[in-house]
Amino acid sequence: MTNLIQLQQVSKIYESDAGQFSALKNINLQIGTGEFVAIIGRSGSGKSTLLNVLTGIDQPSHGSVRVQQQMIHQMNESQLASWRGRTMGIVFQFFQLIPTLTIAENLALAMDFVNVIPKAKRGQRIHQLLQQVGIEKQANKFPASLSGGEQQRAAIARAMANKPDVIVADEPTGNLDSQTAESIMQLFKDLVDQGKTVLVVTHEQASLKHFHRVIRLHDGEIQDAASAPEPVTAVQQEAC
Amino acid sequence: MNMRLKKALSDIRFYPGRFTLVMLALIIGSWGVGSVLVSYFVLSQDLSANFVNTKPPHAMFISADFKPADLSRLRQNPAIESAEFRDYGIYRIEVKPDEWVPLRLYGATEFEQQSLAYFYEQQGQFHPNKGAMVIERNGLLISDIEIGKPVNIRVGNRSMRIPVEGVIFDPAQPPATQDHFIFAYVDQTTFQQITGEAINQRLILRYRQAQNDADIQKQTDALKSQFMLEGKTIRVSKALQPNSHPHQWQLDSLILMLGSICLLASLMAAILVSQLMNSILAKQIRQIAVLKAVGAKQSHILQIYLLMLLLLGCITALIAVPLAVFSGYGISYGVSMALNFDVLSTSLPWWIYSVLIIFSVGLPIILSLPAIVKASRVCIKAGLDDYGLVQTQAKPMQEIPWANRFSPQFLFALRNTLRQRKRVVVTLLTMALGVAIFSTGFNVRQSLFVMLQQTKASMLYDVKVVLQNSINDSQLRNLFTDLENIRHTETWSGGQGVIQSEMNSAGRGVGITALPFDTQLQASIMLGGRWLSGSSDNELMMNTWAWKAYEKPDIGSMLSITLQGQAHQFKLVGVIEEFDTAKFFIDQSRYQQLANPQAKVNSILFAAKQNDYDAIVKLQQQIEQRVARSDLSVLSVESQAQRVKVIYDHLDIILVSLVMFALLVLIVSALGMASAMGINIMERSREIGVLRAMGATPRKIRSVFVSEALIIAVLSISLGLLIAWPLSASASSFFGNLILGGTPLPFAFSSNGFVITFFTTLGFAWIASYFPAGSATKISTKEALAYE
Repeated sequence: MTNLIQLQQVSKIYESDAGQFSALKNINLQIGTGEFVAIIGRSGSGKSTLLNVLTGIDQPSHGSVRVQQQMIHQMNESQLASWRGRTMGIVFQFFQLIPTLTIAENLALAMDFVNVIPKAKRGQRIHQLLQQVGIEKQANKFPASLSGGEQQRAAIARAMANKPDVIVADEPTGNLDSQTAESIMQLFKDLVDQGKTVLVVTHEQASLKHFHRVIRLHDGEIQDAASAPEPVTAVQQEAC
Repeated sequence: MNMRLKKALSDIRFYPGRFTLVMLALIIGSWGVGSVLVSYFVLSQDLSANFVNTKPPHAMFISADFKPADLSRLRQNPAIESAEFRDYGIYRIEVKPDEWVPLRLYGATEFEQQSLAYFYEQQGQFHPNKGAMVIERNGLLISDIEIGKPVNIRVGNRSMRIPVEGVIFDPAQPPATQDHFIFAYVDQTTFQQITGEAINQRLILRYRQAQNDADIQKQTDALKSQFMLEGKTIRVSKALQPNSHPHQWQLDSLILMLGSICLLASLMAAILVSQLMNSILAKQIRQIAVLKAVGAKQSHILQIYLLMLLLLGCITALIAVPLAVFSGYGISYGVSMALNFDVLSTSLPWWIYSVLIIFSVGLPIILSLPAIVKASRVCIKAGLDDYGLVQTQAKPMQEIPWANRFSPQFLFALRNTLRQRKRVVVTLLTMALGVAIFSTGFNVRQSLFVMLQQTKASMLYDVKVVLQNSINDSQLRNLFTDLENIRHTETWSGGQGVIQSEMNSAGRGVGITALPFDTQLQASIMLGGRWLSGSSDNELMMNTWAWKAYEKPDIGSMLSITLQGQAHQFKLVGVIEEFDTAKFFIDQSRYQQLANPQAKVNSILFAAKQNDYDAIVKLQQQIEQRVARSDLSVLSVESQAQRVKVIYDHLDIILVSLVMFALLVLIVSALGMASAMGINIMERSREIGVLRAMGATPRKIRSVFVSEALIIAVLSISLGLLIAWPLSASASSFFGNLILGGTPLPFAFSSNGFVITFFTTLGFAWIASYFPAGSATKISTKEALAYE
């Protein structure tokens, strides 16, 4: 398994009126292709910051971030946008679908920005993706008319739109009931089975069993990075 | 469809109310600017074209010594393009039973083969038969004259009935509706028969090469010298202005004024668009972050919002441009009717359409661009962390000393008003500007009325009789000695109006009024210097137009004035305000000594003992009866009220347009307020849910929003009235320059305008808040709480 993502000595310091705050402290992390990784930790432990640094949404204060052999912390905003669109699929906790567009149009817009999928094949791919996440019948509906679970499936389909190698999800089941959350986790697992690398920030105890690896953050430091399922129990007890 | 375009379209569909309001404002603004632009193009081109196409004469000479052979010789002169004898005289015509106005009668030699001063066939006979006449079409609007029926005319002491055989169109003449003259045309034989005057006395001609006014004057002087060398006595020699219609000033002032107002309306509408874009962008900041997270570059975000504006602009242009063309032509037809000319332009050049599209599409984009660029630059993280309204750092209510004087509901509205300060400032300024323009419209109108009142107050006579020629003072007075209702009588040489200027002129187009220095019948406002003193010195007063014509000389300076062909030195002692053509005022006794040794006069003015309407009408009828029985050649018998009406008719078109277009600005600002209130309500949907959960009824919630709008309206009115003050003063100055020849109009505050502005603004504010608030309260509490 090759290293898809490499973080070396990554720190993130925020300046505020109250003084400096270190959200990440000397993080060293490697994630391989096809891994299914959970990032857990208490609120304020640096999970979202780590995800932001990994996706190029935020820049590290120190250290390097390498994804697919590319030093993303050296890219400018425009390069990052293109790279992110091609490489990363991001799923948000509150789905963040564009409310004024239908589900199919939400996917099409993401494809339009990145322009990886040829125009002629976009319709077919949208249909295929929606079928894959099980909401093909909702293609022409607006987000507001879908249930939370359906919206999150749509968000995953959108994240997959440009065939990224990495899917990153920030609390994707935080807003869903347990049954729906389980089906969403299954969806991520299916993606991993298809060769995608999936990173998920989660609080859900029950879902940890799905992951290959669980990274536990505490005060901006990786406290534990163990393979599932054995360490998960320990993690579950302490972190969640 | 392009997805970015689809996103832009879907956003427009998502905020239909707000986009409709803003688009309406944009349409009104663009429509206004477009209408003025189109009408300006058509009118400025066509008024001039109508006038110039008639080939107006460059010069006019009057001499009893002209012979037909002179005309043939002139026509062979290579410096002369065309020449014609067109005799002319001013008489009287009965336009309605017992209502007489001056008749300006031309005896034309050419009807079918005109070579200059063209007039055109309109209706009925073009070339009248002997003993008949044709009248200028605008005269029909002020008279009961009908083709085929005879009219009464008076020439001197003779009355006659002359059949009207047709209607012609002479675009070079000022409109009868404003000047209250009738223009009529007869052939030379009929002219001689009607007037009893010799023909071939008035020569008009055009020079082949005439670059400018100075050139025309030079050639006219040279020709006059030539005529005099030939032994001819030239009674009148006049260089004319062949490039400017007599009423061009009205058109210029109208267009400039309307253009400024509409430009402002368009700018305000564009500000509204930028305000709406700001609010949409603030609301969509997380969406922008998400779009960036899924791969959108800054340029993609820019494209989406620019497309949105482009769509808005295109829809606006699609509606506003045809409307503007339609109404622009409408205005042109209206003005052309008022000024008596024909609209000739049937197509508009491409640049007009380009300017209209730039206004509809470009202006909103330019004003919204900073907000779009700023939003497109937002970092994903900052965007995702944005939760909408920022809490203001305002003082708690209990710390405001006067807070307990108001109800909590009012205080809530007051605090909410100040919540989005930037938006409130924009709304307030937009609304204040609307109020200011609207109020300025009324104030300028009031200034014009005050000027009219002052003009009326300066004319202390009640009825005036003007003769075609000068006669002995006693001869004129004797005719009216036993009239009962007469308090005071004066006889003057020259007087008010165009005709008097033509009869008694000092050159440079300036008329002379020789009146007793201690006159009791004129009390004009002195703008500088003093009234005539009656001393043995040559003293002169002038009105503002004359002052301008003589390049604004200092009071006390000596001027060389030509009286009856002889130059005299006069000391300028005063300048008066007067709505009239350029005039000099000289003490009658000095004038008699210098240029009128026989002490002849041509007008008599009466002040009545009783000057209520009925008494004056009766007096005027008595005077008319005396005139009819006399052998006097009377030009007009005019009451002071009729004279004021002539002045008012000149200004009416401006007065009406001013208020109409100012209302347009107020509507745009009201739409701005509606849009701002809509945005406020949209942003506070969740708050509405909370209020309802707390037990507020829809009525109470609505009253909070209406109170907010009324607070803004009252602040806007106060600010608007403050802005209106200097604006009105500037506008009055501008109009004064156009109407009074450089003197500002008196500044006047219109109390009626204030009341109308106050209640109209409050009414607009109420409508702008009541209905959006009403729709917001229709959302269920659950939906409102869930609103993100």
